[in-house]
Amino acid sequence: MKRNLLCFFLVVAAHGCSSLSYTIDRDLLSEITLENKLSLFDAENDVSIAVDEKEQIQRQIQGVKQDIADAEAQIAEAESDAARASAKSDAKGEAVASAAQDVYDYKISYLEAYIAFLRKKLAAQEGLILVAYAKYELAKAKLVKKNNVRGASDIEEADFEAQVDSYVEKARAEQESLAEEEKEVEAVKKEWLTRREQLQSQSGGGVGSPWAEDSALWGSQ
Amino acid sequence: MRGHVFVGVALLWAASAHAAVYTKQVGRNKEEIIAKISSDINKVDHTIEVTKELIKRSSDAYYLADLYFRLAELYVEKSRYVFGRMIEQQPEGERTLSSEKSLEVQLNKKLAIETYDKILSDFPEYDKNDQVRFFKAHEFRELGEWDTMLKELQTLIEKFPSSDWAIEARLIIGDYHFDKGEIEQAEQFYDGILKLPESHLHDMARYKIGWIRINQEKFKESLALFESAVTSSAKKKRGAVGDAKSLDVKREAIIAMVWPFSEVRKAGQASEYFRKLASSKTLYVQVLKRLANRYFIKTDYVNAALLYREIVRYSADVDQNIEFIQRVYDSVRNMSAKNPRRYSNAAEDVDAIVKTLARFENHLKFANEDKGQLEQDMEVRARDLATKLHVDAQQKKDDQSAIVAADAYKKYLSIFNNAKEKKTMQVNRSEALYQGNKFLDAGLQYELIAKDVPEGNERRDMVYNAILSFHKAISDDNDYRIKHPTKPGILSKLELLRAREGLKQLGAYYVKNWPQSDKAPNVKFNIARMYYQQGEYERAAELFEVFVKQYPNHKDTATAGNLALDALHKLDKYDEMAKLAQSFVSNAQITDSKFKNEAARLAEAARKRKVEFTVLETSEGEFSSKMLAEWEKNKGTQEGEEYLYTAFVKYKTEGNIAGVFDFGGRIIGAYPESKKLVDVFATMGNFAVRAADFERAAFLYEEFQKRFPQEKAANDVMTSAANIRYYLGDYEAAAKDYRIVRSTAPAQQKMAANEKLMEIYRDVADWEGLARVAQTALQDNERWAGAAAYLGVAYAGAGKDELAQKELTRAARLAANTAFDKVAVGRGLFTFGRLLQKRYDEVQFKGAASAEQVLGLKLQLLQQIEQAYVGAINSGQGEWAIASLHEAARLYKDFAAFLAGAPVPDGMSAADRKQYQDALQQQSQPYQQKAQETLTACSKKAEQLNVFTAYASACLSGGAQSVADSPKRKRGEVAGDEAYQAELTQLRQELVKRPENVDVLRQLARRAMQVGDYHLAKLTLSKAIEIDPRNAAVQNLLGVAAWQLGDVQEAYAAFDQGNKRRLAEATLNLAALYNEFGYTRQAKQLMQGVSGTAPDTSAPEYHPNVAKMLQELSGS
Repeated sequence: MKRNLLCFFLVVAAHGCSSLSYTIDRDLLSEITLENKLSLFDAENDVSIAVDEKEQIQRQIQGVKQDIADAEAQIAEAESDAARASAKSDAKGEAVASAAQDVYDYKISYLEAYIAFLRKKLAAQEGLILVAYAKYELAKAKLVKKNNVRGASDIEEADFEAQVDSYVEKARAEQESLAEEEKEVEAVKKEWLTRREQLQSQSGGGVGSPWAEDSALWGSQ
Repeated sequence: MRGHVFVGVALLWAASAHAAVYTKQVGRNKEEIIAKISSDINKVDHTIEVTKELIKRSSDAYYLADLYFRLAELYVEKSRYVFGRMIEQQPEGERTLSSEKSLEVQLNKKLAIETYDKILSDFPEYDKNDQVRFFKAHEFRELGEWDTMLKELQTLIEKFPSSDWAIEARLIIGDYHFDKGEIEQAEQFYDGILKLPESHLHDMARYKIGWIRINQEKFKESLALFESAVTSSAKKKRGAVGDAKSLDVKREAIIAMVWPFSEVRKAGQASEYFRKLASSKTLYVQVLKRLANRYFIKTDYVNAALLYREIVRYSADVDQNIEFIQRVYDSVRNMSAKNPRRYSNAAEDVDAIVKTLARFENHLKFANEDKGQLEQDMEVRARDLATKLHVDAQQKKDDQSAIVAADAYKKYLSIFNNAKEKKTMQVNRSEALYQGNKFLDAGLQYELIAKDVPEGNERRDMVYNAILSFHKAISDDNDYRIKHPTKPGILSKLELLRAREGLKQLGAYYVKNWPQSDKAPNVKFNIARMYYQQGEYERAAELFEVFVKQYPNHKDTATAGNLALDALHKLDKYDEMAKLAQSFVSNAQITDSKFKNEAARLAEAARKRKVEFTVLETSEGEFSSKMLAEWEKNKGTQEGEEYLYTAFVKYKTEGNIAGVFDFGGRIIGAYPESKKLVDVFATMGNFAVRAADFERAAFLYEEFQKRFPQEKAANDVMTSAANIRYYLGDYEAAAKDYRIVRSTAPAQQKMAANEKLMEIYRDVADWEGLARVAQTALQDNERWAGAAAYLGVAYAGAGKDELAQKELTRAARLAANTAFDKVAVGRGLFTFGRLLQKRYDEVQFKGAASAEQVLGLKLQLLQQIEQAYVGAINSGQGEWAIASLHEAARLYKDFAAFLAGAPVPDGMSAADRKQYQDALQQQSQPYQQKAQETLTACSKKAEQLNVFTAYASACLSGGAQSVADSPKRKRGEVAGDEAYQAELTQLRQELVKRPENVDVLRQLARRAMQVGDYHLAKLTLSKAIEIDPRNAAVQNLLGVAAWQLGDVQEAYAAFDQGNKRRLAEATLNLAALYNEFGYTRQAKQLMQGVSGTAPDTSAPEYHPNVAKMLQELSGS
């Protein structure tokens, strides 16, 4: 039993198999027919999916960062709107622009909370990747045992099953913690949306409406 | 015109006599020049002296002629210098000499001529005499002695016709005549040149003739000659001897072509034509310029403009181009207003204006004042051209012209960036682009304008126009992509992105600033759509949802709602999707019922999909508990129902009977009104049949019909339930089911139900029931032979003989079309015979006095009965044919006895009495015989048809009935214990998985037979036979079950099949059946083939009669 090379082919993620205590040398599978190896494909696929999900979270983080930058642009635009309204002695317009700055501040608070959540989710995803790897190793262990491959006699399926259980347990705890945290983020989001809705009413449907969320992209040019 | 031509040609001949001699020096000090010429004259004089001295000393030299030739040339040279000095000494501007001044010149020329003459006379063989003659003629030409020149040149031509000098001579003579307007003579000499092999003067000759042809207005030939001069392979460009400067004939020819070209060719061809011929860009431009000018002068503005444009394209001369641009503009302005393409080159023309103006403005040599003025002028012209084309395009709705106009505006805006009309031009460009379907560019242009204009309505409109343009660009692209799925769209990926982002960003700006605008809803809808198209489904779903809430009755509400749901669908957010769809359904403000119906459907589909996803994510081991848990969470909701139903469907697909009945039962209990119960009941019913759990199947089918009587399959399902009840011997329940079918089903199914009902009551001998059903059936169809027959049979069974006779008589007259009818009518005729026979039996002698009358009546009845039985025999129904034969035999036998026992009249003597009685005996004998014959026929027929009835048995045994017919057995209480039930359940589980497994079916039937449930066994075995009709063991068991249920004929058929396949049990059962019904011979015959150990006749495979038969056989 040693770390196998498949990790390099499966995913780019560096840590992968290295954290596992029990692994099956891929060489042991060489004598098994492709037809019999089909059962491994599902497990391999699960590893790929878990890694893809991690990358997706990373992309989400980048997207949220951009959203923060956009929200900051909206604040700048709101400041500019306030200044213009003030110059025109438009008290209502000035009040709306001022309220818009607050709403976008709330939005940034939400987005920052969301990014923090996503970062934790990213860390938790590592745990899910390990679960997928552990299951993959278990599938290999079962396969070599079933096919009575030479050199597999000292492999104990129970070790692999225990390894899977251990990672599943850890991952489950992390996921539960995440679920709680997500609720908190949702609360911050709700706060922002509530204020946005108030702003929308205050402005008469323009500023604060979801349609005008990105108005600074053109307006500030 | 001719005069004009010659002026043109004369200009070419500026190289006349004087110019040939000397060209006045320019730019040098006059005295220096004169001093230099004087020095040259001294040198020539010295050379003349030296040459003369040399001649003197070389009188016999072979090169003497050359020395003379040299001397002559020196005289000529001196004459030129002298002429030159005199010219330089002349006052400024004078180009002619007085006669006394020219004397020295002439003297030298004459000395030269004399020297030439000496050579010609002294050296007639001199090889350069042609040249000498030419030079001599030339000197005469310079002296103005034209006639002598002509004479000398003519002599040269005659003496040396092929000499190069003779060719030159021809040209000079030709030119001489040409200048004098003597065209024919001139052409004669030019032709003389062309007749000779190609020479350096051929192009010149062609050129000259070309002009002659112009003079003759033969433009085509002229053009060909000029073209020939230009394209000939002669590389020498020099002119004729004596020309003051080198004349480039090819260049002159191409320029000369302008005239004939304009007469015989189209202007549009000029560019290509002259580009090929011109040796340089400069020459090309020069030619075009002449041609353009010609067209312009001729007021052919279309062609003039065409050529001026070409010139401007190639010319780098800013000054000149300014003029030509003006010419282009003037040409366009002067063109006919009817010309549809008047402004079609506006973009190119504006471009020319812009480029020329740019060059002009960047040129140092022009004053700023001029530049400003020119810019002002050109701006007006460029604007005019672009606008005119745009207006034209708008009026004609010409999209292509609109695009050109847009291009013209673009060129205009590229230089007149600070023009007063800049914004107008920008707007015009946007509109032109929009008209030309260049929506993305239009949008971008509107966007630019919007940025420049101050906040206010104008900006609002420009922003909206930009949004509209982007939307149109995207929409067109989308339409195109749908129509041509394998081709790239109208917009590139980048353009599409630009349009979408433009729409989103400007849209957001628009909504923010003008939320109350009537166009705001459209803008909002399209912003949401952009997010959708770009795959940002979360945002799209949010915006579409808000849209529907804000505008519940907008024209795009349904689309927005559907796209919101679709966006969630794409995100696999089925919970949210279901809730959103439901919110649309519940929104009272939305009045679009079609949309609401669709939303309701989608809500249901989303709930279902959510459940399916839960299923997918649930491991096999946890499935059932997970589904139940989800149901518990969502109890009483549609979602809860979905969980149960999904689990039900999964088990249905897997063939899991326990799962199907578990979840099916829960659905029935929790959702008694559910539409899904249609599938649930039908599936559970089918599973029960597959598991041979027939009673449960019948119950489920009955429930189905009860709950969903309007379902299409309701009657079929109920018929199945009734059939199952019937086969299970539960005739009462079967009759009830058939009656339900009869009350709801269409005619054909109703008739079938009536048939079944009649069969049930017939078989259980419920005459009252049979009569009721038959009467009901006759009400529907009074000509139904089968119903009439059974009504008669029922009456007969109930002892209502008169009614019975009436109905049976009626039945006999009706056509029996179906198998059911034939059986009924066969039985009816037999019954009719039996009724008559009852009356017949009652007729007895009451004394001798009435004997004859009684006999007559009896005989009459006998004939009627005979007729009825013959009818039954002819019905083709074996059972009733045999019964009729048997009864007929009994009838004949009875009549023989009746006849023989007739009372003897009173008062007869003993002898007479004896004789009378013998006569009676003799009369009865044929009936006795007939009775025997009929019985024999009955026996034979029974054997032939293998009929197993009491009548058949009686015939076989000589008349006495040994077997009794019995009505159908009803199913009694099933005697199986718990172990039996458990075994059945296990077998049924296996059957659900493998419903075609005949062995399991056989095991189940066998087990049922062991507890005496022959009905279940028979039904199960019937199912097995459908799967494998050649299975002997199954056939045998079926025979035993059928025999046990009184279906003897069916039992025989099954045993026969088993016996044919050499199954010992079947053979024994068949033998027992034969034996039981009196087919002794057949039984014995079969038994002869049976060998081996004694069978275990207590096994279900054997009918109890087997043991009885074996006992009888062992006893005998």
